[in-house]
Order: sequence, then C-alpha cells, then structure tokens
Amino acid sequence: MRTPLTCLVAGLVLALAPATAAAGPLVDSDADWAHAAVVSADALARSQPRLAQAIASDEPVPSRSGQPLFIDASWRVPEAAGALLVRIAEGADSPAERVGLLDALSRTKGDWSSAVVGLLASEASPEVRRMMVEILREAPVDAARAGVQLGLADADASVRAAAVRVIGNHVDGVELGDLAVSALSDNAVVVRTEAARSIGYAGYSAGFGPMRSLLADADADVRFRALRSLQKLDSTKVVGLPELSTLAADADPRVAREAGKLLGR
Amino acid sequence: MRRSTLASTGAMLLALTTLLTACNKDKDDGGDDGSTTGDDGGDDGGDDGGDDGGDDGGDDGSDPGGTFSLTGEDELLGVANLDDDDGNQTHDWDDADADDMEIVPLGYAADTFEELGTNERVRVELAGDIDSLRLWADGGIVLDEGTTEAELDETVDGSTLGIEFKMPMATGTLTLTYLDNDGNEVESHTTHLQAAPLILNHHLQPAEWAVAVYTGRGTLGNEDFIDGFDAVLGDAFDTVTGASVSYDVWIQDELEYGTMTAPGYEMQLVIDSIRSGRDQYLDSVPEDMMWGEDTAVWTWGSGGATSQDSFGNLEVSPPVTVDGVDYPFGRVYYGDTGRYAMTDAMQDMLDEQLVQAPFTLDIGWLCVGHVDEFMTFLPNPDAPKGFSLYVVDIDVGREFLEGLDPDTHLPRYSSGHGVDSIGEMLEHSSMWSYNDDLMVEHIEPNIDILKEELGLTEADIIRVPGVFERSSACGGTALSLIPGTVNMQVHTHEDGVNADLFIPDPFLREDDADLSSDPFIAEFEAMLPSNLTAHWLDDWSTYHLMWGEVHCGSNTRRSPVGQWWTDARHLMED
Repeated sequence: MRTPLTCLVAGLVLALAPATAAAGPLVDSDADWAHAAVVSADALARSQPRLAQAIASDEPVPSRSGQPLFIDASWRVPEAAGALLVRIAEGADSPAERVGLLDALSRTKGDWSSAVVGLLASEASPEVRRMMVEILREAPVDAARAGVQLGLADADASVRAAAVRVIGNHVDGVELGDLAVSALSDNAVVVRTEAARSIGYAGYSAGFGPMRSLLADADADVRFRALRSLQKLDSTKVVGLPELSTLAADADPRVAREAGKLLGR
Repeated sequence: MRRSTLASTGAMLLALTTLLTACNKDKDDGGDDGSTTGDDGGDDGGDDGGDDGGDDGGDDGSDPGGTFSLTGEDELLGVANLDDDDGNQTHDWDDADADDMEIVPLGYAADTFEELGTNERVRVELAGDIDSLRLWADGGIVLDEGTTEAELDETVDGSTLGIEFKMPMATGTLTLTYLDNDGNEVESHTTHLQAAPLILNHHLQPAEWAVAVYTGRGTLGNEDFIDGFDAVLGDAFDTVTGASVSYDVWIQDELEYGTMTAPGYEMQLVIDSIRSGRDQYLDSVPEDMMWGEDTAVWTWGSGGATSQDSFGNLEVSPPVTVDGVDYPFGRVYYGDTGRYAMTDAMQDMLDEQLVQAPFTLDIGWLCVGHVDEFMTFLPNPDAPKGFSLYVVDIDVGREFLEGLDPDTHLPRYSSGHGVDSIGEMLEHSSMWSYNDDLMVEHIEPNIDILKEELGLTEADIIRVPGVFERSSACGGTALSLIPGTVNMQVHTHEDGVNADLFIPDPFLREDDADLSSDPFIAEFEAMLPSNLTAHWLDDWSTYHLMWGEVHCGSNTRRSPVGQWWTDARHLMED
C-alpha cells in the first residue's frame, strides 16, 4: 500500500466532498463504500502483499490503439477490487490510465459498483466519468440505474451516450429501458442514436412509440438507427408504419435502402 | 547491390539504355574508319573498331565539327536510392556518393564525348520531378533541382554518366542536344526517366523473414508465441527485445514492407509509420534493425497519428482482374472511419504508385480500426482465382456456436471476458443484437466493396465464424471476442502457394493444453486447403486482451515477384 489506511479513508471521503455536498443523502453510503474499499485493500495488502503492491504501482501497457491497459490475469479476482478502487480514487494516474484501471476493475467480478457510482459524482475528467458509466453494464441493475441516472445528467455528451449504452449492454437492460426513452430527446445526436440502439438491444417494447418519433429526426444517423431498432422490437409492426414511404425517399441512402427493404416485405 | 534475376545481365541493361554515338568527324568518310566513339555494343554495323579511343587526330581544335549525332533508347529505369549502403544512418541519396550502386548508368562508352570538337558541346537538360532526380558525370553531380541544364564537352568520361532517383515513382526526362561549333542545335534525344513504384506485398508473395517482439516470460510474457514462430521458421525468424522498445509489441503497425525493382535492381523499402515518433516504442526499429544495403526506410507524413496510421490498417489483395483490367500486383486497401484515415501524405503516396490502385474499407465500427481485424487473403490453388478471401461472419459464428455443447466451460473467456461458457455466450441477447448490426451494417457492406473493387464473387470467399464484443474501454466499438482467427501471419513458401499460417489460438475449450479438443480449431482447419499448414499460437494475454492478434504482433519481409515495367504499364498510363 502506498498510503496508510487512515489517510486513504480520509482522502476518499474528501474526494467525495463536492458530490456529497450536492447529493446530501448519499453521504453516509458513500462513506460506507469508501471505507469498505480501503478495508478491502488493506486486507489484500496483508494476505497477498505482492498483488497489492502490483495493483498499487504497476504501470499500464498500451493496447493496440494506445489505450493504457492493465491486463495481468492475477488481478481478475474479487479481492483485487478494493485496491483498484483506492488507486482510482487517489487520482494520481492520468485519465487514460484511470480508464485502464476501471477496465481492470470491471474484470474482477468484485463488489465495486456502488463505489464507482459514488466516485462518478465527484470525478472531474469526462473521459474517466465515461468509463465509470460504461462498466456499469457489469453491475447489478440497481447500481446500474443509479449510475445511468447520474450519467444522463452529465454535461458531457460522451458520458450521456455511455449511460444509454449501459442499457443496451446490460443483461437486465429491459429494466432500464425507461431511462433510454428519456434520452431520446437529448440534444446530442450521439445520445439519441445510442438511446435508440439500446432500446432495441434491450428489447424494451414500450419504447416503440417514443422511438417512432425519431423517424422524423433531423439527423440521418438517428433516423437510420431508429428504423433498425424498431425492427428489433417488432418486425411486423414496423412494416405497417406510414412513415416508411417517406423514408424510402430519404436523402440518406442507408435510410432509404432500409425503408425500401421493409416496404418490399 | 543485389542483382535481380529478372534483370538478366548488365549488358542487356546497357543495350536498352540511351546510347550516344559520335560519328566519323570526317564528312567525307562513311564512318567506317574506326574513329567513332563506340557504344560498347558495336551494334551499328560499322563501328567495330570504334572503341579505340577515337583519337584519330580529329580533336586538334581546328576541326569545324558538326558531325556528332545522338542515338539511344527511350527510357531508363531505376530505384529510389533510400537505402544505406555504408551503414552511416543516412539515406544514400543524401550521401551523394558517385560510386553508389543505385546510380543507373546511361550506358555511354568512356570515350563517347572525345569525338566532340573543341567548341562543340552536348547540352543536357533535366525536367520532371527534379527534386528526385540527379545526373552524375565524372564523379560529380551535373544536374539536380538547383541546376537543370549544363553542357558537356569532350573531356567528359561517358561511362560515368548516370541517373540517380530519390523517391519511388519519380519521373522526368533527360534531353541531350548536340550543339555545333556555332552553338546551333544539330539534333537531340530525350530519355524518359522512371523510378520504380513502391509495391506493397500481398500474401501470395514468398515470405523471406518474419519478426516479432519478445516480451519475456511471466504473466505478460509471450514466450509461447515466440517459440511458435521459431519452431517453424528457425533462422527466418528474429525477435526485437521487448525492453528495448518499451514492450510495444505491435510491430505490424509500426512498419510496412514493400519492394522497388527495375532491370538489374531490387530493393526492399520499409515504410516507418508515424504512429510512434521521436524514438519512442518501436519507432527506431526500422532504422536500427532493417535499414542498410538494399533496404530503404522512409516515413510519409508527420505529426499526430491516429490508429489508422498503423499498418495493420494497410494491406494488399492478391493479383486480380477487375472489369477487364489486370492488377498483377494486387490492390492496396486500407480502412477509413469516415472521421479518421491514415495521414494524407501516406494516402497521396499510395495513390501516386498507380499500379496497386488503392481503395478503402469501412473500419469505423472497430475499436482499433484496422482492416486486418476481420479479413485476410490466403493462397488457395483450389479456388477460382488461386486465392480465397477469409472474412469474419457473425451468422456463421452463431450457427457454429449453437452446434456446440452449451455447458462447455471456457476458462480463458471467464477470466478475460467474463463469459463462463458457450451457453452464456449464446444467451447474451444484446451482444448478438449488436453483432447482427455489425454484420448487416458493416461487414456485408465491406464484402460488397471487396467484390466490386476486386472483382470477387461468393466463390472466392470463405466465411469464418466470428463474434465481437462491444468494448467499454473503447467507446462501445467492436473487439474480437473469439480471437480474430483471420488476424494471422501468412508465411508463404517460395512456390507462392504453400504457406505456414500462424493463427491466434481461440481457446474455445475447457482444457487449455488440449488443442485437439477445440471445436473451433477443427472447424477452421477444415476450411483450409491442403496447401496451408495451421500453427496455433497463444496470443491471449499479450495480444488478444490488448486488442490485437498474431498479425498485429508480427511482420514479414517478402520477395518481389513480377516486372512492373512489363506487367503493369497499362496502370501507369494517363
């Protein structure tokens, strides 16, 4: 461990100060997960000091696209989660490296979801916030919902897009479908596109009606994605949509081709 | 200098090269008195005594002159002089050494110009890509971009005249004009100068040598991977020490081998990517390991790189005929995300080579964004065109998985991807929805592009089972879930048909050590023709989980095949 236990707990709670001030009721639970993370890290330092040391200090290796990653297989155990959370919360690594640490965290199968949601509220880097949200696809649905809600309220569109992606990737995504619907009217094209995609992937049938309105979206990517996702929800119903004849003459060739294909059925 | 077998002999080159003949200076003589400056071939039927120095007393300063004449061929071919013969870490072009082997002789006899009268001259003019052309004579540079016109007198040793090219596909003209005593133009002859195109390699070319980065033993080590190559290739395989390159294992992405050939000349050229600059990571490997005699190194572009500047994103098809047009060296293809593509300087250079007519594929859906992630070409003598395109197919992947025991435990996937079994993989409905979209929206359209640009049909294509995951660390774009089988290294034998394939082990099995129990391996090997030998390499930790596979982590030098100056002229015409 790089820092004594008490210092880490204090540091983590301090790191949460801005968020807790805003969120109020979360103070106690945040402190709980922070404390739990530090205790877990301390336990790892006692039981597996080499692993704890590695997690605390190992340098990442660049992926093929240059993203720093930590892929040591020995980290992929639940008891590594606490130590990883401590390193992430300390914030001494670069944002790209912290993205790599979050990737490693998501592979531990440990209990990290509430901690990530807690850290998300106070994280300054949009790149890191995006990844914090992304990995919630592996979290229990309640934690995922809390994180997606935070993500959808983010000022950065890439974080909001990540939030709706969670819905499409989560094994229980259908339970989060209402959140994707709320993102269909986002002012960012990427968010509307990902919301439409996720409603389809999650199979959230109640999203059919709201998503239909995107067939008239000003952006061709959104129209295309809505048309594709509507088919995933109800491939019969979509064939009867009156919008298809307009879309078959769409200026975007992908949209026109997709609509023409449906009209031909 | 390695002499190409394609080029036959130096005499042949000389015979084809521009020749200048000085005729008998005596107007009344028929030219058979042995006083001409011979062209060393004696093929003018009357000059068999002409190589005697030509000093028959005509150059006494009082001769009126006016009888010098020019003959010669129309073209001179060479290669860009970017290798480093003396190992001084400088391009030979910049060394400007008159004895350099890549200076192409113009083919004159030593005494050619002795026949000029005292006041007679031969004007030489250089035009075209003059920053990439030089005329040498008497051990010095006569013409270059700073001096495009000069006059030669009778003192010039004709045998020292030669052309040097700097860059591939440099073109120009050299015009020689005979000026009489009064400076009047008597006659002239123009030779077209043409540097070889840089031709990138395809998988039907024989492989000479392969290389990978050795990261040692341990959890991130790749000893098995390296041993796999070494066991098959032996001396034809080398490694770069991982510690010397900050453990950057992506040597496919750092450099791309191509070749430049001309009659009598053969040179490898290593394109050094801009992906890692300033001696970081693998940046210095092309210069330190490969640059030398007959191996050139050059970088096109500068500044900030994207992933699309990596050369896993730059590949070549085998030779094809498209709408009646032959592409004997195949066609270059690379990926373009719509927002990002390789640097303009590289794209421009590839376009300028003409003979491999580049086209682009959609790779915006891939996390890393390289064309080698979903397709490759393999020699296949049983196929209609002598090769097959192997491409990932999601539908084939699902059908394959559905035929397996769903309870098959997958230890590697459990640890690396959070998927414990075949059944769990199949039950992941949102993952399959995502994969269905990839197939319909990206993979099939790419196959359509390949069919159109390469003249392929379904009979030329073999569809390989594949599944992608949606990467959280990569903004929701695609990474291979089952190791990208097609992302392999193809080590073709000298016959251009048989080949050793180094393929990522899919580990779609319970027992790590028992490859014979892996249904994916059995399935894929059944898809291979008998000329191909599969070698399955463990690339899991060092490559697969780092978003690459075997091809990404290795590189291959290949032998040039064919003669562009005879086989690809039709692609070089306006």
